[in-house]
Amino acid sequence: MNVDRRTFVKGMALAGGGALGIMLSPTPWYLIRDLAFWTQNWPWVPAPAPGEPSFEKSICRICDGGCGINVRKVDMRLVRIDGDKEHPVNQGSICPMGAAALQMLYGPSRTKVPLRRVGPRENPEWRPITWAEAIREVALKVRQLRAAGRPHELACITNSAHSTVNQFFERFLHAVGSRNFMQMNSALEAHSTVLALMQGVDEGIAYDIENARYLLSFGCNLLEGWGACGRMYHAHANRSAHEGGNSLEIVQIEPNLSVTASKASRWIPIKPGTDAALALSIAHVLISDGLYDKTFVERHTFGFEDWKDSDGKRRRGFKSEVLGRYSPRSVELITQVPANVIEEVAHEFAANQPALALGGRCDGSLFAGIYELMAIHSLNALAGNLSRPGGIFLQCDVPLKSLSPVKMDEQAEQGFAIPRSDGAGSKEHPLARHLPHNLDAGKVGVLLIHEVNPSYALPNRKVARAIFEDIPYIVSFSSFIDESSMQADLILPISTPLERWDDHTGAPGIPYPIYGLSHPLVNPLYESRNAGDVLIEIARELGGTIAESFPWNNTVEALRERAAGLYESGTGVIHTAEFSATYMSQTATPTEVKSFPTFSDFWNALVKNCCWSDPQCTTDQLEQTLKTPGKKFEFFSQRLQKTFGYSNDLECMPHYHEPPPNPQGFDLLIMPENLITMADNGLGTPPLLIKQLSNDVLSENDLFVQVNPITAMYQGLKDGESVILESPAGKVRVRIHTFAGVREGVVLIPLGFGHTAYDRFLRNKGVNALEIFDAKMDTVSGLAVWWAVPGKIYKV
Amino acid sequence: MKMRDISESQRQFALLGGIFAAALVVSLIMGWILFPSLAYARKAQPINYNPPLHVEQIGITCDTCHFFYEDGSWAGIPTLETCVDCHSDIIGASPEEEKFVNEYVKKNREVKWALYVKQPECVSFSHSSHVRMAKIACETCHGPQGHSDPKDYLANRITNYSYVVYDPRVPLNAFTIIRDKGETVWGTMRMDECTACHRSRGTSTACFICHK
Ligand code: SF4
Repeated sequence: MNVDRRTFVKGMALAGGGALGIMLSPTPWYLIRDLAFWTQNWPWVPAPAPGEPSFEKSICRICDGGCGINVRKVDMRLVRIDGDKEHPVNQGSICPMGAAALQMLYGPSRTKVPLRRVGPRENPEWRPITWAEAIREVALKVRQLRAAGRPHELACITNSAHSTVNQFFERFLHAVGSRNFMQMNSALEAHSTVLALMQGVDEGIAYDIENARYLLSFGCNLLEGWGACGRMYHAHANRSAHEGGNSLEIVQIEPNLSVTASKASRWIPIKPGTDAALALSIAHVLISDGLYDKTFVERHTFGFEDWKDSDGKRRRGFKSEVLGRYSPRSVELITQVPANVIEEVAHEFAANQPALALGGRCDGSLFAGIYELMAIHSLNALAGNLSRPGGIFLQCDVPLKSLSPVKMDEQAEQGFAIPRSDGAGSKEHPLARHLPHNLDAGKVGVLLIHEVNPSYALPNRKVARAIFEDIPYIVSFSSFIDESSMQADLILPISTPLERWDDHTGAPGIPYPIYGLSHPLVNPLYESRNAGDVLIEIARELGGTIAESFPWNNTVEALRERAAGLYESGTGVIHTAEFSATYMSQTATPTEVKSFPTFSDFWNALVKNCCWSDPQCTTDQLEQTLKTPGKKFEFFSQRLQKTFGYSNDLECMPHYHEPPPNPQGFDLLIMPENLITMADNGLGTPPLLIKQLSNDVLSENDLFVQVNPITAMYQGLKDGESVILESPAGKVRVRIHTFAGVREGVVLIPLGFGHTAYDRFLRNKGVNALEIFDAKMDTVSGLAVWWAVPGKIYKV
Repeated sequence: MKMRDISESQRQFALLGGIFAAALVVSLIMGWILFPSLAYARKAQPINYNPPLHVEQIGITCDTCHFFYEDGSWAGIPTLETCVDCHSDIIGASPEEEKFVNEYVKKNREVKWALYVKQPECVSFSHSSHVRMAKIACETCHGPQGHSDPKDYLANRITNYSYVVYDPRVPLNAFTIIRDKGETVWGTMRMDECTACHRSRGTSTACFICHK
């Protein structure tokens, strides 16, 4: 159509009139307002549902820390987790994992119904089945093992928690006829071996950090997951207000500038792996300058001075050994820590008593060998810091009632007589209790995996692979679709800690007994169940003595029965808390167990407040902490000599031995790095925390390793470049980030990435660093040693 | 010729003026009457709840059912649980009551009440600070709810917000919504209404007071 001038002008008149009329009406203005309202109420934008707010207490069970938490609820939905100010472990502090735990509870990677695998393990398909079918199936497999006379081929790998549910698993295995109950090694496990060797005790180690003035931390990442992280945060935050007005100095001895190092009073960069030499050199200064606790050493130690054995043969003591070999000058050459710094630190250590020497790198589980931890622990003995405020204690037993003895039939007795398949307690590893990383998969017929992810997290990768290749039938008790579940034959959905009854005995490193009891704060989501209840049902299905070993109807019955022990002991307190009407604060009064008129009152208070503790009960008497035959602290471990028959005296004493040279071509050292925001034990990391990672840790799906700019220059690499990181055990593709806080020659690779399971927020992000760490076994403790591995790095 | 030209252009001008005026009138009618009436839909509450019965005859107050939780947060529209406190069985003979008990209480179904007032998510509105601290009466913002018995309400088709009158002499239509909002017609308050009230009371109107 041709538009001439007239038509155009007419059109303009029409439009002008129309526009003016509309503008003079309320329509456009109301339309704008309504559209604005509309955009604020889009139904697809998530908004918190209204409801009645409330608070309930619980225990965080993400790690073994056992921190107390307050959970805010709106109606039946959990919306927020805070640290519980009244809880003795964390006193209100909480780590990022604990704070973000609700994302795991409500997240997409939950297991929802029992699933049976169809098709091969490499390429599984999953078929939902009912709980009844699942229970019958597990019972059938166990029955078949027993029928074939191989009950000992039933094995279980579970988490390291001291919990009733774990006792249930152990019990179940006993009743069936197997010793193969394995817990993943806890971070402070190696320390137990040190205590067994030097103090003759079986309990775990405890540190009175709250009363110490000086912490000599040998690579412990105190603020990135060492011990109970919530507790360490609290101790660090209050370091200037320690008991008696003292402030706490932290001296961090670590090759790289970790978060702990950056927040310490002093950072001593040390050549990787030489911590034992440095500790012994500090001992050298303490001894030669007469700065050690002479009375303690004289009265309560063995093997300090030269001594004569029963044959009258003269043996070299710790003192001669240390004075002879570890002078600051010679140790400077080993550790690259200047001699004057060594002297200074030794003097500070002596002057700022009570002082603690802590070992166990990263989260505490990494160490170069048991002798290193013995060397560090010797400093505590030289300072006389055993069973003293601010010193070393033992973890005390919680006076729970023990469960009734397991009933075993003849078959179970026969199976139980057969040694473990992981070698723990055997001639090779007499001191070890659980060695899942040494499991001989060929000797296992049915494996129960409970709340752990060995496929991802076992440091010995060959064993991790063998487990899922060789074991014919694997059941995964898991709340999440993790790597191990993906390769199992049956997945049983387990309620997460906030949906179930559960308990937890003792928190790592706390010097007095603590018992945490948690109850369901919400009804279990999906069809998930309590693992304890499932075991009871499997036992019933099997019948006979196995069923008789589980006389309870459900887990909570057993928990109640055990808690009666606490009540009957009459010791300890429950912090009975009342939230104020605004929930902004809570007031708690420690209520003595004695003051509850009946067990039922006690139980109700325990359920509500979740924590029993007995701060008065510490191992503050030396008789309690020194249980070697001579009731002395042994610089020369007679147990070590007796157990292994070492002829070389040095092998019974703390010492430093040089590591073997790197294999040809591997001239760098790869070290693992703990990130406080990443779960590195195979558990999932909530999306919120993955979002916190900076671009030089994870960019899209690329993981960054950190190297010193000088290392990068020598290797001809630029910041951000894609590289291959190779160790004798394997290689991974990563990118590099240059950071001057990393020691020259070191490559720092973060843990917790490279998942192939879980949800889309976590899957396929970076690489699993464990793939390149070739874990060795410590000759004394049998524990996995993988603090570093030789490596090389080159362009893709 | 010249005369004819002038009259021609005058005619042209008049024609254009006519077109303009006609368009103006039509669009004014559309803008004032047609669009507004299209923008609202007349609806009824799922249950014809009778406020005067509750307030005037039974004598309960607003906060019997619209209460504060212990921590000061606002319960808002009562859930079935609150209603059931009294209405576990049919009370009286009203057919609406019968419907309520049979259809909702017995079946444990929440009533989807039309919301007259709800601030969007971008506004952090606290009933506590208005009612408890500033001592503003419910009626100030919500109108004399408890004293009349509206049969129906108008819902905005874009926002879903609803408008209601409690005065039987006032007709409920788009025009009264535009004209009388806040006086005889009640619905979600707009920002200009919020700020006007804040100003008149000398309360801050800084952005962060409402938009946290
Ligand atoms: S340290 Fe462990 S127990 Fe404590 S809050 Fe963090 S994850 Fe939970």
